[in-house]
Amino acid sequence: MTTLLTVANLTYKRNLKTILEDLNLTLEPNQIVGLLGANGAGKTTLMRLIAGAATSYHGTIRLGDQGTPAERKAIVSFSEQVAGVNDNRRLVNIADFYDHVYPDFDMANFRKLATDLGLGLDQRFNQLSRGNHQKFVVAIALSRHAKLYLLDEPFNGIDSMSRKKIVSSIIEWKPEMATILVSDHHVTDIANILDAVAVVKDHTIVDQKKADEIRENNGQSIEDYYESFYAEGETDND
Amino acid sequence: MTSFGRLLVTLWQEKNRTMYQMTGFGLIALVVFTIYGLFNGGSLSIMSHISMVVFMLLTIVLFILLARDQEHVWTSNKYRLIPVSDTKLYLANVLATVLTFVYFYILELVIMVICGISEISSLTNIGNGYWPQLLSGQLLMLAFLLFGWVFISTIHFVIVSVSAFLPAFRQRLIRVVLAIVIFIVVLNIVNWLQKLMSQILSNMFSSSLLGVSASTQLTTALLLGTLYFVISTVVLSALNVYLMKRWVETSTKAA
Repeated sequence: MTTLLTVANLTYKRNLKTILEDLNLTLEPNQIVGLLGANGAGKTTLMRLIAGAATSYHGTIRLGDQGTPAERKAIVSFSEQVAGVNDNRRLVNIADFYDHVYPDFDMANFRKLATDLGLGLDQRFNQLSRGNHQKFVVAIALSRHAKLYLLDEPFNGIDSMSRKKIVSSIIEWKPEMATILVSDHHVTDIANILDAVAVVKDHTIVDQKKADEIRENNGQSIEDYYESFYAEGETDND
Repeated sequence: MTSFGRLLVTLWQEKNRTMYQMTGFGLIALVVFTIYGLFNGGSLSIMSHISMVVFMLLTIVLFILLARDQEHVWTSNKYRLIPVSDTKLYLANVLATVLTFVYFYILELVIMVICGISEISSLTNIGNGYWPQLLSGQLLMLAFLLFGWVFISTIHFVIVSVSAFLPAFRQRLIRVVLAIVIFIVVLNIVNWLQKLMSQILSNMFSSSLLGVSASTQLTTALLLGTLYFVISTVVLSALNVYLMKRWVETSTKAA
């Protein structure tokens, strides 16, 4: 099978601190992959590097045959693209901005997705609850026709109903052949929808496996598999 | 990929929101102060003076707000994840800032002309020889403002780039100290370049403009000053794009 994303020997340092070191990751098309790791393990940093938001790294990041950050940005939809919006604007106006600057943004899809998630488009961004904020972030990210979606902790701090709605949106709105990399440190939220998992620990990907392989060969649930990496009483590494 | 034109228009429209707010505040201030003046025995002609003062202050405020908006683009995921090269984003952002200011300036002129309609005859009496000086003066002001915005970005980029190599501990304090140090260093470099440039220009000026009228000399001086700021802006912009590509990353703070 062809490879969608290749990350090879990736090392990233900032403020005299190693955040990622000699990290390798490959993703295939048409998958939902869980990027699992404790808080501060480097999940967000890895996504920032793949998306092109962070640039001062060593190693290789390639998406298909797209190597430059600008080329990658054209085919990666990262949930962090909403960071920095004007808090006082209405959701529909914010979506208009993305419709203008991203050639692959589908406004009709966004409206349907927002309706599915129960978002009022006339609401102002700063009036959204935590759950609705996350729903909006996911709606913007999934409204692009990208090859790779990076959803950074979309279930962080939200109630179970919102979680369920977001999970069903991810399944329903994922374009065919696109891959979604979703990071989380509460595996139970997403375990059922994952095709594969990659575990980040000690500044690198310590293991990457297909979900079926874990369940069938290892006889473990995704939760047990993930927790086995932290079984030695380790907590956050920063 | 997003086209340069589409990006420029979108950024321009975003910056125009700030400009419209400022113009709105200006008009409210103009009306309030004019009414106050009329109640204190003044005539409608005071509007032209009030409009001049109000819009002069607004120009300074808008310069600062546009600088703030411009700097926000460099470190915001909302803009930096747009599929364009950093060079295109840089050019579009700076150009959108300039266009917003020019648009504000045109609106400001129209409002000031309307406010000073009774004194419009004095404007028409300006001799033809003064128009080139007026236009050159405006060009110099615009080039100076452009240089100011680019200079602020340089300071910002150098601070971000240098602080990436310093420990995360007490980053805020480190950044304040860095800002002061870098401001002084960059200002000294610019000052040194300015002296060098003005030396070259004054040599050209004195040898080539002997026997030329005073107004032509003034226009030439203004245009050469503009040229100086444009060249400085281009040099700093090259440095800015380099730093942006290599070290200036987006903020990791949530929206």
